Amino acid sequence: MPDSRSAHAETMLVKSEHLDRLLLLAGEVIVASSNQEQTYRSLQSLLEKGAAVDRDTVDSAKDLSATTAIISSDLHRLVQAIRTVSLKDVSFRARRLVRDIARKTGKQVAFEVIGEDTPVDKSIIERLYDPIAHQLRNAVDHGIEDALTRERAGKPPEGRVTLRAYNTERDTFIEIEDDGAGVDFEALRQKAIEMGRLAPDAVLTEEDGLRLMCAPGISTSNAVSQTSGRGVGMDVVFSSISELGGTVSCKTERGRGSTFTLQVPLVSAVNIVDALVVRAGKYLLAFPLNNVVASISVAREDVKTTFGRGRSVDYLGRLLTLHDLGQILDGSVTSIEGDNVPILIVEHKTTRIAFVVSEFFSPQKLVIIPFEGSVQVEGLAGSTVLGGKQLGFIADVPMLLALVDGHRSLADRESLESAGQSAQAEGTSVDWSSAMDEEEGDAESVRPETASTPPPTTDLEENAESAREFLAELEKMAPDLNEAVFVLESNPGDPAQLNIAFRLFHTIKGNFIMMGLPKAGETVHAVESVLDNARSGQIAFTPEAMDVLMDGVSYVEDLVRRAKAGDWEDRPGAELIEHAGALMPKPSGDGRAAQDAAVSDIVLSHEAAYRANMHRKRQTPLYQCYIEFNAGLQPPFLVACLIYKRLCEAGDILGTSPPLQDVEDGVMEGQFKLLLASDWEPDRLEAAVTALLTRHYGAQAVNITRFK
Amino acid sequence: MRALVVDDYDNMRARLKAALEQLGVETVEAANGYEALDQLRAAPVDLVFTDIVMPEMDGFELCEEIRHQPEWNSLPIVVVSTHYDTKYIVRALRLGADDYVPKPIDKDLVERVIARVTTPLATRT
Repeated sequence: MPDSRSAHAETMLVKSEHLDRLLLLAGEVIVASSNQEQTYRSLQSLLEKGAAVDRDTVDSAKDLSATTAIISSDLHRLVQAIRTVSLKDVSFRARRLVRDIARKTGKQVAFEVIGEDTPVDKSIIERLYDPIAHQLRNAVDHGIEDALTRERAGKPPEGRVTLRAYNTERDTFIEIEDDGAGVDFEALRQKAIEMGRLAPDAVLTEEDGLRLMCAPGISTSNAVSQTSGRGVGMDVVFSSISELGGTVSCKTERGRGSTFTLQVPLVSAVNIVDALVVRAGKYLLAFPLNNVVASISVAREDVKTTFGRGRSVDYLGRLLTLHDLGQILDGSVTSIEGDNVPILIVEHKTTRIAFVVSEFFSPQKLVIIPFEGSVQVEGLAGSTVLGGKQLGFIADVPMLLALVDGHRSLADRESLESAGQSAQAEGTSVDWSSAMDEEEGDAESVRPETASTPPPTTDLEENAESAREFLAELEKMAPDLNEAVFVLESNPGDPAQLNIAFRLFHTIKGNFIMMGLPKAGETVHAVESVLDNARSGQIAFTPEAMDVLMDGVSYVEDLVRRAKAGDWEDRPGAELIEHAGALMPKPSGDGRAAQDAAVSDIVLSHEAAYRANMHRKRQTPLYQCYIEFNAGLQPPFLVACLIYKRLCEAGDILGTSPPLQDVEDGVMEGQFKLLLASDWEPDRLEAAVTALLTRHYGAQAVNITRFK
Repeated sequence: MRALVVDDYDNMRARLKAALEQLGVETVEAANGYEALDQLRAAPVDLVFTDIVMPEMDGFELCEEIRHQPEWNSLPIVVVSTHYDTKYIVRALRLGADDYVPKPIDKDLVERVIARVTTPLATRT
């Protein structure tokens, strides 16, 4: 059996908050070194202007800044590497998910993961799973056709879904590919027209189609199924990928399948940004350079005011609406000083907008200090400290675009908007943007307060603390658990992995119980029992057993996720317990019968009858002991066994009723009888047994009678 | 009184240890059967609390090993486990365990069990 402990021995558990802090500090070092370089450059220019500066000092400042730059960027890379984890955890869960959906939809799907060792920053990976899961769900549910349809189309009955991950220099690519039916753009178009989102005669390009798919509420699925088709999701995929600074693209061909590509920057967790700093009124704002198109200066008279559209400015032949940063952030108006208006043009994806600003500063490296916890400022990604210890803000360009656009950033409005306008002109359609505004408004108003049930034991802070510790323990087990599931899936019944899975579930059960979630413990116990029976060969490790295992993992994950979100409700997995129970071997003894026999006569085995005869010959007295007890926290069967064991100290026990060896499933009431041969003096025996059992074993009645 | 606490799981050990210390019982710890035997050889204890499911050497084997040594023949062993299947209980008791305590640890039960396993039935006369 591979020893999982030795593999862990070479790694070390580090609090992720420490890593975050380390990354922040590494960032500060880089910024400091970039400041150093600026100092050297100003010295250099002073020297060139003939100021009285010592050349050696300038040279050594140059060396120093070069060295620091190298060291600091090495440091930064190292910290990034530390925060890097492989996609394995995601891919394991993805396998389970695909299997599960295939099962629910009755489709045949071969799922392949390529590149699961691809390293991804920890903070990204946590936010990648949901979009990936969503796309996989779509691929199986909407993409892959049922076996019959596929065969009619001349395809193999088994559909193929591939999750492919790879890194390039700058980005992580996740591709979800299926060989299914492809996206039905015509259906999509119809649906959009039906919903008034598109003019009836609008032509839909692939790109437009993709944008439409991401609009809330649109789904081409005919039926709202359990797994997908509710028209929510794609928009969430888009927004969560875009929050990571990434993009989503799609290639699809009717009848051949689709490939969705999620592209996220390798280091979006990186808190350093090259940014252009601008002043807009009283605000100092840093715009990440990769969003900046241009900083231009426009003569005041070239700023056009179009009725109903506000101010706009011509940039490379295109009229861009001119927005006011101050107005967006706090409603103040950025006054235009002088004859020339400094204008900043930024873009995200294909959308460009222009902002009027007060002043530009030079681009620089800045550390993003994320807003603490729940503090979120619309349009801003965080704060930063500028030169001279001034506080500035980092602009969140996608969010700013969303704010000025009145809806989420992702749908490029231009084509859709014009479609909406022409539809409106014909009086057949609702206004696209106001529909979107409502959507946004709704989303805002219904955003629920996180229902937060504190750990059930919070009356003692110590208990809450320990519950959180157990929760943390559970989280650490996830990779091992997923690995065991993975191996068992390709190699069912692998004894070593069964053992590992069993042990993990056993520990998880313990943790749930310790966390004050007994029902969860019971649910996990059901899974554990299946594994226990499978590893001891009592039952075969069938696909049904595999399903129980997978569902068990999902159940645990779900509970952990909820507990992390503050929801500590103890929800049992009734269905899971039932499925697990159906797999269990049937007990050979009838527990109920044993219980009924609780106070019936003691039946002696042949061997015990022989011993009884020997005792009689030696004139050892036989006693019938009737004992009633309250087992307390222990099962009555156990306490009966313990009493049995203790009474062996006084003599030879010939039999019990109910016969303990037959109480297969431990069902027993708190009463039993036993037949004891003992040469102890009768009064002494009675006194000793009564005292011991009453004091230490919860006995409520002890009745010892000489047996003839 | 000195007790040996055997569990592969730090957290569980800590819980039991805390309960025992509150009861005035000194503790030594081991993470599996092998470590437990090493501890027993190093210094005698009055009582052993052991988990069943552990890597390397589990609680069943530990019971067996302890009972194989004449000097540890009457050393009380208490199994601490979440397993309440009859076969586990029977097996543990057959292999020489003296009591069986469920997780999570209940301090009162631990106290009771300590009293139980360290109290003889009585002398014969």
